[in-house]
Amino acid sequence: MALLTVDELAVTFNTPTGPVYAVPNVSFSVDRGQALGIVGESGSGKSVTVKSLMGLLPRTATITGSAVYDNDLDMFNLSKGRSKHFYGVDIAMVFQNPMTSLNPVKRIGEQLAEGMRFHRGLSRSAARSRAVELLDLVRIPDARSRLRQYPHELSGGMRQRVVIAMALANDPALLIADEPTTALDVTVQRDILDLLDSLRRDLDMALVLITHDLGVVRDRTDKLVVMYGGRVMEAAPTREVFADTEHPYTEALQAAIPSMSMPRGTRLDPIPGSPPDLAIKQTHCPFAPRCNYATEICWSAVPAIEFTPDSSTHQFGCFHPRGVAAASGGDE
Amino acid sequence: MDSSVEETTLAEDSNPEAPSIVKQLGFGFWFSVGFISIVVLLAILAPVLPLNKPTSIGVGTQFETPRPGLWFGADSNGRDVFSLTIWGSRISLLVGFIAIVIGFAVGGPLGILAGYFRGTFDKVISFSFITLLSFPALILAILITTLLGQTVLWVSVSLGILAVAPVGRLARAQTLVFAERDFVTAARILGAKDSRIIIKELLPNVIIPMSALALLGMGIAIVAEGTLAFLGISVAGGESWGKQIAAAGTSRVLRDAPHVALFPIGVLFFTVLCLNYAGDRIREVFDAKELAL
Repeated sequence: MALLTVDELAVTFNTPTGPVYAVPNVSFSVDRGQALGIVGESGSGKSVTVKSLMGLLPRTATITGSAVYDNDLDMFNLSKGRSKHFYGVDIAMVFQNPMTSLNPVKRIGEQLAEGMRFHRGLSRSAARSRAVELLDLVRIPDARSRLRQYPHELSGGMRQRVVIAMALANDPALLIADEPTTALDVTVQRDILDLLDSLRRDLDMALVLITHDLGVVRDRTDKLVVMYGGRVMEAAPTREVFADTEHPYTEALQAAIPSMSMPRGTRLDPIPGSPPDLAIKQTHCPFAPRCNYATEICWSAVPAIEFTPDSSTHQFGCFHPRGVAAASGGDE
Repeated sequence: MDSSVEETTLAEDSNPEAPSIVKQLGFGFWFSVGFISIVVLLAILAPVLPLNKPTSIGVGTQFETPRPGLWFGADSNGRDVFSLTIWGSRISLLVGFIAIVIGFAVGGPLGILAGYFRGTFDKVISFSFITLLSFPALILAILITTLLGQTVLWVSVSLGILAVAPVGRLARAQTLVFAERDFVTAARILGAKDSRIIIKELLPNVIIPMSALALLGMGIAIVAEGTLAFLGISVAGGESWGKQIAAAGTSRVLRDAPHVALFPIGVLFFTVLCLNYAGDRIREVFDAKELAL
């Protein structure tokens, strides 16, 4: 059962220098309790996609397409009454940088309690005991005494745990984490990712994990959406993305990841060039300029998203898919 | 954050709340606060203190040097300089205080709103701040006091107007720093309105550097009042430090009886120094907090 279905979402910013097509076309869905990874490099439209879903885009943005929550709620046309208790309740969000997502002059307890008191009308003391529960849930030791502390008294990892606790305050059915570990030490990154993973299982909550790091989503998501230039390049169950890579971009991303099993001195394969200029309306495959397999057809049209012949869950948008090509005996 | 910090936060309770704010601000800060408090207290209590009347002449002989009972000596009319200095502090402090209150009441909200809402409103406000800053300060003060009257109110207003732009610019800059942070976005996601975000999320952050500026600004306003007095355009009637210094600032008096000018100058200097130091300490201590973020 799809909890969130995004269909043909397009976001355009109207700037003084003309329109910027930040997200030309994105579709994906998340089921209840499922973990979805959205992967892409900077400028691939991940954050804009999420911001449009959270209602955080400025007024200069034009949104088309649809986002349906729980099969009947049109997120782009929420009624006033519904939107008041939608964000932060049904859908919550964890931000990238825990250094800036907590108010430096307010105590942890106060920040945790605010959302609960507003959305659930909890009393001060009820919110307080719930706050202790939440801190226990995100495995912050000595939760009770933390309530009186200020953010600067906690380490980065601890702060991100607090941010996660705040997001969980109203039992969201969907948690969106926008690069939740990018600002943290590598050793702490793993802890936070594992925490999110186990919370998702324990609370039966859907998780959208946005990252530029394929390694992060590999073992922690059920489904993967690979984005580039504001479009979906490849979408499939995570295992299939790695086992049966279809899109050259996904392939290139994998080639750029260092691995412990590589022999010493192996050169990583970076993807040459830079992401497309989004101020130009796309008339061809956005990845064509950087793709090793691009031919004339890639420059003539944007490839449609299609399923692989032998799967109903594996989608990609490419004229020269790798796996299919290999199966049919090589291309060009 | 490095791992050692992680450990200490995990270990907990060995160091529950670092050094307290009182300790962090240090001896100098509290000494300054103490000195300022005494000056303010004396100013408030002047009418009930057993002082010679500042207006009564011939309390001492002309230019009498300090002695017990006449601690700061006497001026050209034999008036008690100690009493004059205390009575003079009333106008100096009041003008400094009102001026900075005006600066904050006008500049603070304008700056915060400009920084929060941006857009055309911000452009208009920022431009008026720049205009105000480029307007010759002295001309403005002369204009206001001569046209509207040399009263405590109008002297304060003219200095207050000058404070609007610096206060407003700091408020705007500080708001800009915090308005883009994720905790503001998070509050917005949770359904907080602009008014709530400004008052509950931004104001507590903006107020700290602002309070440092308030103390610094008060010092500047007190000195500025002295400058106006020197030019004879400060408050007419009554005494102020500036007027005292102006009256004793002739070369003959400075040569023959330097104490008449030096005592009010010393008190003025020390008061302003303490205000500046206290303001600076607040800024330092809370800035360090910010760095730890």
